[in-house]
Amino acid sequence: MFATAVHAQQPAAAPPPPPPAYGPPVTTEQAKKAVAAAITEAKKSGYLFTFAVVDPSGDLVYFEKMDGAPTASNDIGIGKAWTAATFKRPSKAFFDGMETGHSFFGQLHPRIVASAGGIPLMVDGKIVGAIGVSGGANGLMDNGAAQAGVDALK
Amino acid sequence: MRRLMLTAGALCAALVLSTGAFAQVPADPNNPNETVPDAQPNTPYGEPINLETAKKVAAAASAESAKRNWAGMCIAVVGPSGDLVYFEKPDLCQYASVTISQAKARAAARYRRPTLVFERLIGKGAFFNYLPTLGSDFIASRGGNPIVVGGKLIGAIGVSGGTGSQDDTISQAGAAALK
Repeated sequence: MFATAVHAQQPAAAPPPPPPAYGPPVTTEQAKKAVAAAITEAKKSGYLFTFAVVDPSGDLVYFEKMDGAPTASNDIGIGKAWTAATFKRPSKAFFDGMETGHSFFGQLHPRIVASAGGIPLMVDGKIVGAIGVSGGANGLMDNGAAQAGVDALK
Repeated sequence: MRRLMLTAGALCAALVLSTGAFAQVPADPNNPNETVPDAQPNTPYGEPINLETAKKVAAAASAESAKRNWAGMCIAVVGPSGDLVYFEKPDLCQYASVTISQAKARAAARYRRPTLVFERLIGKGAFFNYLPTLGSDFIASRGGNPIVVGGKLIGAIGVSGGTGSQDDTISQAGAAALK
């Protein structure tokens, strides 16, 4: 006779609340406003950056490259914005996932940039797109500038 | 004996190939690509267009769009290598034009000529069918124009959103801002 073991189960950790809904695509004017604020913040560092804004579909709406910014920052900045908009979360989430040993985060889609600097843009509680910044010493520097862009639309 | 046969076989193959038994395709006298021009004009590349100048070019293009009431024109400005320096998508621009405008600018910079040239050449017929095989940076739709300052190509502007002819009108207005 086999005794079925009753395993005491740990209650599963409650999942985080779902991300906000998408709103109407970010307007050109909103994009310019966000980038202007990001540039003001970025200039404090002395580094040279690119700034990209995409809409919820991940398509480019606005882009500026500071003179002399690294060539690679074009694709990376746009990639960070794309990542944040299409996954409804900061690109930093992918960096954090990979840093804690979850390499699958970087493999979900070939366009993902798993580095901080891409953050969703919010208007009226909805995600209208995302801003991506690249060129700083590290993702956190890019992220600070991107956050200034996000804050400009609040 | 086998070795002798193999050597003889290899020698025969070499002879057949060297006589051009695989026939060359003869030139067509109607093909304009057969002529060899004397000169090779090369517009030198200059220092990459800076952001402020790129915005000036884009603003001139936007102003022309506004003047003509063409509200859906995406504008891309690139440096000499075709890499993006400035881009804006008006709210009313169609999605396809987001990538097309960038592609036109990139082609105009990398090939150092208006994309109108490619559109017209392809329209001439089969002798120019080879053009789209040149690579992924080739685009044969008018609207991309080099930005030349002091005889040097410092970048290019690409516009998309209307008909090709409308795109090129706006694009040329942008490029003309620096003249």
